[in-house]
Amino acid sequence: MTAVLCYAEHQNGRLTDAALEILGAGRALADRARSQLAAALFGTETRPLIETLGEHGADRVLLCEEARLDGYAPEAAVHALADIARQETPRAVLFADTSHSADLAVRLAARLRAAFAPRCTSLAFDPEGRLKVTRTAYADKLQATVLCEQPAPIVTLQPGTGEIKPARRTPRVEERPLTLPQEAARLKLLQTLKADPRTVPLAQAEFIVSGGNGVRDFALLWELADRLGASVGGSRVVCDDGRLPRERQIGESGTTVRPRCYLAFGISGASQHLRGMQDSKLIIAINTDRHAPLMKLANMAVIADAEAVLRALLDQLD
Amino acid sequence: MHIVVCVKDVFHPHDLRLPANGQKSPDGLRMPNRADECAVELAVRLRDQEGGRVTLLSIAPPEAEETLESLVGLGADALVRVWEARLAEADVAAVASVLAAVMRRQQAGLALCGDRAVGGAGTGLTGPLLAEILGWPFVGGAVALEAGKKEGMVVTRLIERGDRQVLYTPLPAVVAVSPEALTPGYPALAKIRRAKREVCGLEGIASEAEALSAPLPMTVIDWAIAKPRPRKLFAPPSTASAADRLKMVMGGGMAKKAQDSSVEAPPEKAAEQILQFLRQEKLI
Repeated sequence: MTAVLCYAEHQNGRLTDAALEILGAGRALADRARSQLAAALFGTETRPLIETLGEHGADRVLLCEEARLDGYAPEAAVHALADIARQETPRAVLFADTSHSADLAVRLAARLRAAFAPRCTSLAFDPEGRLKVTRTAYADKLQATVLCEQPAPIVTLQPGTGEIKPARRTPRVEERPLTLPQEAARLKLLQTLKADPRTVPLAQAEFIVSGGNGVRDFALLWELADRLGASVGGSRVVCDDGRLPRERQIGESGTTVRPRCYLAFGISGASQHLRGMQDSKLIIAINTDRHAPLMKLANMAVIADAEAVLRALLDQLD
Repeated sequence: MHIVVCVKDVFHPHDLRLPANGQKSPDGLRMPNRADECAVELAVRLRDQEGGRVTLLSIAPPEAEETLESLVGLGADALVRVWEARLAEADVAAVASVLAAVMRRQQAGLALCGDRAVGGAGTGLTGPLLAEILGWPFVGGAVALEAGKKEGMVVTRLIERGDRQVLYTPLPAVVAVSPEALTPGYPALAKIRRAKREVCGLEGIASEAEALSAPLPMTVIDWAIAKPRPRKLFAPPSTASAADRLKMVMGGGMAKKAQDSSVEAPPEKAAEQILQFLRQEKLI
């Protein structure tokens, strides 16, 4: 039976959230089409992930345990995916819209001369079983409904299109050896450079230390950010009176951020500010006012004077 | 080295007209594709360092000439514009096959293009298809180019969160440049006047561009103005007190209230706990 195929992206021994979302979307699509969901899992030491794939709805796991597929190896991965697509004739191939997965998706589409729809917002099969997707184009101003036909239509999904949903299955594992000749991979990854937290655009920053009206001395904040390897941001008040440059402003009239951690000193959290940072994974707020809106939102609320805590943190980091 | 940069004009996002009856794609005010401008700028800088020449290659109707000239003004040595009426219907696979045929004729040592058209269909397929047809390696999302120590090319590629990958690729290769690579310079009149121009049809390359008759198996069946995705509306929980509900609404309608811990302590103790929390979350 032909199946819906998902590419299971993983990093540091874990499936990425984007990959789980794709599995959710794939499961929903497969259920509606009464077909199976297969996941392509590449790389060594990936066996522990098979269970997670099952927990998110995969009926089959197509496993290629091969050291040449570890890390960023687009040529080998596309070769393996093309082999799978030719054998399986999947009804759709789903990728996350991350730099890693989207790069593979577009290469695979070019290799197979297949239909390709990036950044889709919805997916369905029409009555004849063809894949019908909507995607944004023309600088996201227009929305196109695209009919994709065989072989193996390839799509990437915008984040938030699929839902991470448990759907307990015990997947059947099928091993797929890599048939790529050794010398055929021409690209070599020389190194990966980490972004410099001082210069990375705030929207992409992973860890943000931000200050509001409760902080007078911003030199302290910059110093703390440097020590922690974080980027500096601030509320509108402090950008208005020049304590921080305008491009450091977080909130609706500034930058919308979604870091892994948001450490806020002396920010009460006007709704305009909250809307610019509420998607942060972890929020730590330090404020003397226990009823401030940001304190309610925070994972860790510290009721204390922001600047005093700032100094204490710097002392303890010495 | 002969660097050939594939460029195209796109539509200004503020002046887009939905395709009317019979048209296949939208129409509007033309402007150069930002990613292509970056590709030209990178190519010109590479030429200035390593020598060689830069040719711009575009499959575009005469209306596009004005925008193409502004790309030439960034410092290219020549512009080749390929056009025939039947190319108006060409899809990305046909375009890539024509580009590949011209690449071969021009004996390109490096092919650059934008990694996707921001004011276009934006599938980002041109580069990978070109690489497949030519049998060259492909790198996408490039933000910097550097000649390799002995041979080949070192390409820096932008990935998530501002991190970058540095890749080595042998030449010839196809590199797709990210629109975030740099801020392109201004076109200069002297540079526009210096560049050579060539306009050609498909004669001589049509046989190689057989794929013109084999479009990718996808059709756009409907165009619409993109609607913003609906945001989840916030309703305060009915179990909360009136005062709390009012506060929640005033606070911007924050739905979650996932307080894991609340600390009230002197600054030193508080700092300790914050550091402990950060360590626990492996942030430091």
